[in-house]
Amino acid sequence: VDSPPFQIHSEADAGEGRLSLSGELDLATAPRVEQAAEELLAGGLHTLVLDLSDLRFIDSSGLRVVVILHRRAEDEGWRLSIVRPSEQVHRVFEISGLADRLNFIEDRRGL
Amino acid sequence: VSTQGAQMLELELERDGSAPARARAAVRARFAELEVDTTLSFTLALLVSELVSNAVLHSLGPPDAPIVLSASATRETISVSVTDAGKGFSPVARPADRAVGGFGLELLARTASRWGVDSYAPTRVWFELSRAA
Repeated sequence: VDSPPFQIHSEADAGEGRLSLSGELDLATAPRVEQAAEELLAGGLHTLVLDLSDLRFIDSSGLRVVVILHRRAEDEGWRLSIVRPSEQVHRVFEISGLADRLNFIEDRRGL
Repeated sequence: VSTQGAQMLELELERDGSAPARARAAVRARFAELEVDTTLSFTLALLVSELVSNAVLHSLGPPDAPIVLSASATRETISVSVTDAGKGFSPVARPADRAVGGFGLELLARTASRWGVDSYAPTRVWFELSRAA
């Protein structure tokens, strides 16, 4: 019943960055997302797409990273778009009262 | 707090960043046989992750003191407790500098049927989930 390892796919093209996460976002893996976002943002972005569609689990350590990015986007004037996760993962955002404050998008590139 | 019912799990976890993932894996493996529904199973893993993460980050006990995860089940209820070597706490005031990271207790309060914290040593946080929900 081991979970697949947590993975981050990171890319940027013409000012749009994309972080695609898969696996479980928690205390151990959240710092890797902060680090990857930091590296992308250092290049200067107008939009960061955070793709959570392959995320299998999130807890408050993961929520914290997303909220930090959200606040940073507001402060620095770039756009954070979050590709909607699975129903179970999205429910954690809803329970926390964050779902309405974040910019969730449905579309998934390539569809 | 009653923890009657079948003991499902008693696990000592080394206090490090991988403890939450190990705790979730152990709980998922152990509770698979109960065939709880997907939402309840996810909530169980979520709250276990919250309690163990909290113990890893905030225990005032010595770093080498293990975290003890204990779980039991009746037909109606799943009960979990997480104990560390801290001195207990009262879940009331939340320091402002933790505001961004303060979702853990909120998730616990909003999803558990019952929950509580012992305000004396050792720190023990517990919750119950209704299997009927």
